[in-house]
Amino acid sequence: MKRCERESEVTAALRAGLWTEELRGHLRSCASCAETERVASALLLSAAAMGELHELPAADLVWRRARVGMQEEALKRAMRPLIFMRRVSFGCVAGFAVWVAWELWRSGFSGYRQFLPGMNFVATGAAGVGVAIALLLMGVGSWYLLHASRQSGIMPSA
Amino acid sequence: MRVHKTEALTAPIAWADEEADAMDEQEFRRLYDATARPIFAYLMGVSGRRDVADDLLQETYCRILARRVLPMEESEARRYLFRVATNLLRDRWRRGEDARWAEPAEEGFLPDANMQLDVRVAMRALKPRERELLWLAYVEGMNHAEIAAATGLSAMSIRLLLFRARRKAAALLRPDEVKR
Repeated sequence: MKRCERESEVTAALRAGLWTEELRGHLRSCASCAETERVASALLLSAAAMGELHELPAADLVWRRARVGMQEEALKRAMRPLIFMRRVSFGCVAGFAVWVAWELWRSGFSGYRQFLPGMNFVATGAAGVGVAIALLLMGVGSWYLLHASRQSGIMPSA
Repeated sequence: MRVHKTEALTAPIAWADEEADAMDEQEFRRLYDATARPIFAYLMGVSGRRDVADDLLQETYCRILARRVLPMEESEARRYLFRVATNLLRDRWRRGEDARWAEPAEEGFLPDANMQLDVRVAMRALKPRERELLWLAYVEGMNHAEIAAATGLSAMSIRLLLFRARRKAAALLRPDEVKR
């Protein structure tokens, strides 16, 4: 079967429901156009039945879903630098831990006092105080940011 | 008005809100009312499942809003929507989620609508791309260039692909008549 140049005319006539006698005559003599008519009419009837049977989601619902999606996307964008900084800090801690472990292993775990010369009570105590202050500040800062986010409605309260 | 100290941190969210407000909800509603039904029928006809059509329909409009391409001419928006819907269908097929077609009763099809069942059987037997081409050409009445724009295929190949898809569909709809 060869393709016919008038197939688009047949499709258009079928969609509009406007047939000329000449086109009907052509349809009877052209196998390609008859096939087009058969497939197109079946699909069009099916599409029409689908339209009658199914309710569409309301426009409001789609609008709201889109808004929520956009806000989530914006939140993700806003959080990206924080996530990056957290990863960097984890990397630094891990790197430091590996370095300490390596140095201890190299010294045979016996010379740790030389490796960490400040391992006396005073120095350890000062370092401990420093770490405690840092942790306290991190906690207060995190609490403040979360509290502020909840108040402004960006993040839902637990 | 109370200005919060963490405003700088939440600024991107505020910008998103402003941009969303800049989009006219009435404009969206008008576009949705004018185009949602053919898009839904396309998704339903090609995927064969109502739940998928519902979900992808919403996703299609969410994408068009998120990309902030509105406002545009209705015909242009329609073509764009078909393109997005086609891409979303392709994503499903790539994930292998096209295996199951819902049974007619499950989708609320009329049990005595033999023609409709024939069409479903034929569509199910066709490849996803063939379903797309047939629907866009015969239900939407798109020309080859428009089909190419909606599917991402080359305009030159549409003619041949559509011819083959039509032959296959015709054989599936009325096997005995097509043998001649």
